[in-house]
Amino acid sequence: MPLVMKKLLIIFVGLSIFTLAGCGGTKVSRKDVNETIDLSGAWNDSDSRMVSRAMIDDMLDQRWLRKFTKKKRKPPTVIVGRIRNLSHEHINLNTFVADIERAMVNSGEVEFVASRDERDDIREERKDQDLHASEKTRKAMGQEAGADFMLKGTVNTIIDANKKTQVRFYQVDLNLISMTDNRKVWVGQKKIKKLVEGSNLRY
Amino acid sequence: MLQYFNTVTNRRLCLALLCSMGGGCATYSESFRPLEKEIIAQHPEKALKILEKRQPSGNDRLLYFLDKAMFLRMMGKFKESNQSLEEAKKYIQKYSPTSITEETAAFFVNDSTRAFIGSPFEQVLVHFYEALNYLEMGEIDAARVEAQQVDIKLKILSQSDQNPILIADPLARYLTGIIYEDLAEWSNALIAYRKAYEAYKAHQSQYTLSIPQYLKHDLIRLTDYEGLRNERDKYIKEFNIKKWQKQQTLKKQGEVIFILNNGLAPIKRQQTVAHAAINNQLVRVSLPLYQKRKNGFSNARISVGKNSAISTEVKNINAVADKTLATFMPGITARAIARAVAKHNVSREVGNHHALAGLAMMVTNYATEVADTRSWLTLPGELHLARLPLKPGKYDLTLELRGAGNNVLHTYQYKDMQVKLGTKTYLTYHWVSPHALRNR
Repeated sequence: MPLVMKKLLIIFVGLSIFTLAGCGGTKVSRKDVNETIDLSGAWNDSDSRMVSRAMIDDMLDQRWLRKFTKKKRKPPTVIVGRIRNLSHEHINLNTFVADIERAMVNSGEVEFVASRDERDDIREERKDQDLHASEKTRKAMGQEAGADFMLKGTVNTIIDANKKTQVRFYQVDLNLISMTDNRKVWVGQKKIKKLVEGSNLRY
Repeated sequence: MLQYFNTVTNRRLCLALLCSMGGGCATYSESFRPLEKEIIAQHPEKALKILEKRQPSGNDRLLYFLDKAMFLRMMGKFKESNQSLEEAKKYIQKYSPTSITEETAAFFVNDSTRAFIGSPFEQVLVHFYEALNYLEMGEIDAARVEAQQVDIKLKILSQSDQNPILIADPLARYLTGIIYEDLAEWSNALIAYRKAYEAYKAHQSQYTLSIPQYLKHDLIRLTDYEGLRNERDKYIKEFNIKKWQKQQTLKKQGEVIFILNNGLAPIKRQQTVAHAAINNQLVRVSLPLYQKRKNGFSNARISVGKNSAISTEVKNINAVADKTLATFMPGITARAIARAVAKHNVSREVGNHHALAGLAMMVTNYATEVADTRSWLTLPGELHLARLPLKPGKYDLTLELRGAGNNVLHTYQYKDMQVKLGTKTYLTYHWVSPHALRNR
């Protein structure tokens, strides 16, 4: 076989191998939910879990809680208000809010009331009970627990990018605000810094 | 040397093969024609069906996501459109690094063997349309995320060695300013407006696009509100604007932001610039060129009662696409010539040893030498914007698209549009002239 044809053959076989290397079925392996797996460098479940846990631990460890419990002789009732995403990523804040709620409820230190959307559903159900449920089991209107504090916050990012390399700085700020007088009784902050390095070449 | 092209039998065989291949492989832009017809007939759902039958394949997958997103937004399915745009973003990120195999294939076959990741202006428009979708769904915080991503994207692009004019995207900057303003982030809005102004000035020097009148008013209004009197007076003098609305007045109203996607982006066609028989072998060099669509649109007018606003051109994709291709053309041409020389040498060598194999190789080389005509074809040719402040309330808004001499080409009614105090209501429309298939 002439040299040029051999070279061509090598190129085409080489190209085919590279192309085929990308083929193959989907592979699935189960992972522990607490395991940290970073793929793209974006905000992920681990960030959500770690930030919510750290912040709620900090919140429940502060003076405001002891002061309130001593004065009112009951645990405070908290509602989660709006947590705004002011970052550069479409972060699913629902999981973050759920993580916060879970950490707070499970602590047993605070009581929790349902959010605005959830309340609407429950009120609808109560109205329905008024019509259809037996008198014994029917729940009356106007018995809802009002929240003492509202938790509000923001997720911010600062990105420093240089071609394929990025430093991503996430800052989560949470404020606990008294419903009586708008006082901020607790201000929490958690920061995360990530270095994301991309490649200049691929197969 | 075996003169295989000179023998009558082989010449006939060669011509028959070339004819059977239609003179070469079909280009991407040719495959777009059935979709284009449905867009012009205002049937985006039919265009989407045709597209979905094709399924995303190979190196053109990005175009599938982009076109699908545009059809979905034309159908008012903004959420689904954004899902497709998110897929597009992932694809761009994954395929941005240079591929060794694709570059090798591009050298031996043609440029279309490389994964299409879009030109810089197309990549920025992915964020622009995702932001618009969120705005039309009333999700202002999610639109703000896109505003942030535009900023990062433009920052990264500006670090590349590309011509700065290709990176300056005044409309993306302008929209981010509007988003920040809607969120009452006045200083962020002013920074974005300033950047839009600088980018428009740069564009003004290259294209026939002026600084939009609305942006001039925004700059004066916000510098005044932020107490930057020197800067405000500089803009008043430069733009020669004597009457402008104060921010305090606008805050007592709502505002309709209307964006018109006008026509279709220019389409890349293939032109064969060299077509010759060298050493008894056919050699072809094909390059892409842009072809604009016929339009005839002049401006849009949105009105309700005595209140009305006339649109102004805020982006000329026709001009930006032309400039982008012109910038990349030296590289495209150099690659095409190098490829033609390589293909010619290889098929001649092979032909010297085996006539039929040489002939087959020449025909294949000739047929596969097609220009890369891929581009985001569902984009509009131009974008227009109008801002209409209105008192809070529910309105039926009339949209008039006007041609030369303000002759009305098309009308559309927006029913029960809610305008809220201190916020903005976003409306968009994509209009394609029935004459768009004819060349300008």
